[in-house]
Amino acid sequence: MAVYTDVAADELAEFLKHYDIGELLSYKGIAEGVENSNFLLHTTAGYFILTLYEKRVAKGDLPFFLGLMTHLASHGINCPQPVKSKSGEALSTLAGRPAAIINFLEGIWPRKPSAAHCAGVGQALAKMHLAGRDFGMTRANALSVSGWRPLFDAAASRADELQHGLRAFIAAELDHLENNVWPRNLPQGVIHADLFPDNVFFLGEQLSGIIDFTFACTDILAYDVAICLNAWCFESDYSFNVTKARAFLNAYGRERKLSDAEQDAG
Amino acid sequence: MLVDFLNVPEGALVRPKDPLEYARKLRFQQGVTGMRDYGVAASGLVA
Repeated sequence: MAVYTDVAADELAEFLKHYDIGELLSYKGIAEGVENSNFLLHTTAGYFILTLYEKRVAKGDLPFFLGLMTHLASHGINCPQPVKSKSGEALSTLAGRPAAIINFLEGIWPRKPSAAHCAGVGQALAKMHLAGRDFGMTRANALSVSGWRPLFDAAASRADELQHGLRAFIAAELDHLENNVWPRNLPQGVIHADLFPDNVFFLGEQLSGIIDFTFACTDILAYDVAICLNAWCFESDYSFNVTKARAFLNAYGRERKLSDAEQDAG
Repeated sequence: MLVDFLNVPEGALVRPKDPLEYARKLRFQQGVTGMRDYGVAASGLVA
């Protein structure tokens, strides 16, 4: 079964000999995610996640992602930790692609987030922002305002295939954001940048882990807050749920108070 | 999202997010004037 990249069983078994995680019993592709190919590995030592980084991910960024997970985990954040090979490397090569193995986190992502889930992610996000303060690496956000125009240019001609007027709607918003309205002087640090519900695991209403750091970067912390408001606090009919937003923002604020400037940017 | 939606590789097991969902959300955000629109007064944010 392929996600983007197929991996043969014998090739994978040979690859795992470089790790101290037992012998391969089974594996399967994971449908989640749009950037990489992910596989759930079952070995005699337990369960692990194998990620093959596809072409949209720059190989030079991988030490940032893997180092960040290691850093956050060592600061009490529930996130996957890279498994190092017997030679001490977190990053290897498989099927011609950069590859990494991380430990498996129990939990499932919430298909219908409740206010309790929103509070959980608010608290975890603030703790992640605080834990990232002394992370020694930086990575520019390729998907902030300056990165949106090239993406739009690549897709604009087909936008109206989805909805008449969508192209003009996006173009007008981009014009607006590029006209110096984007906040640039807010507190910065490590952000996840993709904290949608499918990247947060829960056991019941208890958050068990944050996954997928392949968009993580250095940018204004409020960017993560804004992403979460969009990703967690709307209903399926697209109405905004202020109860969920209040739960999220207050839980965040109990760990890290939003500055006046950050609140004004809302 | 629009780029992902329009460029799913054949055979890939991915479910890209719906760009129209986020166009709807953007319309809400365009009308936001402050934290109160998110259900929170500034003073309600506890340190």
